[in-house]
Amino acid sequence: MRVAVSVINMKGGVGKTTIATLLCRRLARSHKVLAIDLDPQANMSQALMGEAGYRRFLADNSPSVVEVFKGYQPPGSAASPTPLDATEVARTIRRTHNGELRIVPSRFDFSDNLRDASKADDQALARFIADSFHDVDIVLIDCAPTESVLTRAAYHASRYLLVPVRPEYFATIGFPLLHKSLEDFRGSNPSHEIDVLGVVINDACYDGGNQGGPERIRAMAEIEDEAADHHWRIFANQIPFSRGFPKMMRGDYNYLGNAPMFYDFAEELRDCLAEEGYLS
Amino acid sequence: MTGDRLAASLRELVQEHGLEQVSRSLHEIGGPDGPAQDAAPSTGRPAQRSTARRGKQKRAPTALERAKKMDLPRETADSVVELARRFDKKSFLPTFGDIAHFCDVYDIDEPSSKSRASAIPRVFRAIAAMDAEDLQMLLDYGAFSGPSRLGPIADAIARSTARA
Repeated sequence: MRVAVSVINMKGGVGKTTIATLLCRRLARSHKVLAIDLDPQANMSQALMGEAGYRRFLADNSPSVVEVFKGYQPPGSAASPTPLDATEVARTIRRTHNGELRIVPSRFDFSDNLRDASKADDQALARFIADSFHDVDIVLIDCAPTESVLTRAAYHASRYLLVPVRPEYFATIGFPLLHKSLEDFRGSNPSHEIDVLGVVINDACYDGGNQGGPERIRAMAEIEDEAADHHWRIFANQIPFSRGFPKMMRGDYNYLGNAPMFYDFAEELRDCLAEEGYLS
Repeated sequence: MTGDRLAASLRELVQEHGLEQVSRSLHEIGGPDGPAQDAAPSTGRPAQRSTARRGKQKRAPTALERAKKMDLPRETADSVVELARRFDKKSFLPTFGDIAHFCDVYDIDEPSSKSRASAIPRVFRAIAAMDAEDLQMLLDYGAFSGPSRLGPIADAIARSTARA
């Protein structure tokens, strides 16, 4: 059964894109994954499609998440608007024996398009997913940090939210905002089940014998309190600090340090979804 | 003093890239005609003997030579040859780390020897078994081609903005 998970936090710089990207790559070894880049910065698209792939995508003026929100393919090679072809928008970028990775890429002009629209359709993405991709096991959505129509679009398209957080001052500043935003959404969409799957501690400091020092201990205590207040699980496997992560994002697999510890978290997330009846 | 500086520089490189990669790169720099020859006498081994031994060694086929000898279906032959060409130019699977990652992703047993050359048979057997569409994805997206550069992406965005 297909499940959709948005990687979200109302605070920036917590590692949403890195986590979403690496989860897509990891899960696509054994599952059919659809990655959706809802961030106009398009960093997940650039990381997953690589330099050559993203350049070609721009040069060819290929359809992207912008067209998903428009609901049609504007005139280009065709002389008039044409219906969106899901296989063209969600391009397959890798296929293995058991898995597949497709992406609906983002573009720099995404936010301009939404701003210019008189009223952006926050259910367009959910409809687009619902209409196609019946063979997909998991949809992973990388969200932009600020609340906007894109946040609501992600909620409409998702069953679960994954919340990355860094154990530092301001760590939990986004939690109440996310909780409020989610409650508002539930209030206006009572038939839509949406839950926080869990909070993942990212960029966890090296435990140098003192649990990362007093600041990390304070920040972790705040994260645990806030998560408990909202009944949000905290994943047991933390993602460590590693210079290997930016290298992996760039496609450099030469020396990864602690970065492969990310896979422990990916396994825990998969087990967690399996318990809920997905990715089995 | 020079030795101290060299040790410090090497330590920094090892911390950044790992011992294996630094050793591999030093070996490549030293490689059949490089400075490593000068170092031979200090190891106690006569330079002549190592030259003679090298002379007897049979050169392993390059990826391109191997790919051209493969019995490949017409629809995939060009793509496999192109990937082999890129492999030899180090624009596909440029380091052993990329090969290890490739093997992991595609469920291929990692080669026991940690050299690119020794991985060629195993990697290209797997590549030769892929269908045309999968090979095209490897070519189009430049996956497993080493680090991406952000500059060309920024230039492409600028061109695209100008066009809009």
